[in-house]
Amino acid sequence: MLLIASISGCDDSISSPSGGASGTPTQNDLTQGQQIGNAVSGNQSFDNASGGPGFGSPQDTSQFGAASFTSDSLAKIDTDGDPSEQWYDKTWNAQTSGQIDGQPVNSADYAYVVMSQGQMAASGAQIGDWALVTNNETGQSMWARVEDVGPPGGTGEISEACATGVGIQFQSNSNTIGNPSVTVQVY
Amino acid sequence: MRISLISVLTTAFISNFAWAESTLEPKQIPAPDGSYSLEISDAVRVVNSGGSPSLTLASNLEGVQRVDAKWSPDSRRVVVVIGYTRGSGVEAAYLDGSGWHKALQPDTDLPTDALARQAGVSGRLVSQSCSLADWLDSRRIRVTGELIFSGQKKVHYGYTLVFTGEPGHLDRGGFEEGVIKGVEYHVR
Repeated sequence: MLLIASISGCDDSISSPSGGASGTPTQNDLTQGQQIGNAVSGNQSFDNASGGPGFGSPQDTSQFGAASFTSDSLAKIDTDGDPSEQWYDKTWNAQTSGQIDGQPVNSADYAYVVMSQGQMAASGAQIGDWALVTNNETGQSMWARVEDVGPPGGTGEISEACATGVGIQFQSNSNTIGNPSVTVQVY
Repeated sequence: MRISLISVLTTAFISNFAWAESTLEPKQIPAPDGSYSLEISDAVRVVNSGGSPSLTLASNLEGVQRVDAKWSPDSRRVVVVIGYTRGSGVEAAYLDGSGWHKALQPDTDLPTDALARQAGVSGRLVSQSCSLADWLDSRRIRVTGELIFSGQKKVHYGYTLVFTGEPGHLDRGGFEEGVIKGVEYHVR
């Protein structure tokens, strides 16, 4: 029964981008959806979960300084943590390295990026750190969190919510439409 | 028949939706001569025989599923694999005249494309894991690993991790890069 409910809940249509901003991001441009809690990391809970997808945006970006890690590469969609993708995406995984309230971070609901263990160690980045993701074709940007750890050398891997937020279209099998590229800056 | 089918489906459902609980258990791995230990708890540290920390290799283990470590026969080096659900990394600590240092094997070491070609596999790399095998001597240890590409296509590989003895450059995370290096990568 659960299985049937899960299958019927899936949508194999192409995701449409929503929100996003063009040009050089400003603080307002970077706020996608509604803020969901503050300084979210790992197992912290959200007290005011409502509104649009994502982790919101950092309250004070002036304290970030230079990015600890930057990559510029083809975008790849990580659907991990999104139960509805289990039957469609051959790369799907139930788990994400980061958690919210002890549960995986749902790719469809939260804007997150993926780093490798080596990238995190070399840059000093940690799960929960902020990342600015920019669509190189359109200039649309949004804030995301580092919430999953992938294989060595992987770059440009972003969640469904993040892809949508920067105007990248993708299919339910996680393939992107076209060959969009993204710049990911981790702070 | 119907009951067993429901049971199988329910089991599959639950196992696929199991949350990412860390399976790490605190432990200490002593060096062969007992002078130091590798402590795995809320962090990964080299501690001396009195239990005082000498070096912290990893201070945040959130999301880490597995930590493997092996000391060199001369007790001057320890290699650590830090494993997450979809990826792992190799770090090391070594002792010289000035104390303990930490080193990192850079991602660029792993010839993913070449290994995939050699194995006749293509697709998107989904996950990677590796394990420590035996020390060949006090500067070289064998490592085995697995790459999983989309469609569950797997490539098993091996290589030798070498302490080069060359000075490394310090990265932003405080690791010396270039001190450990993978050589003789091959498909198993």
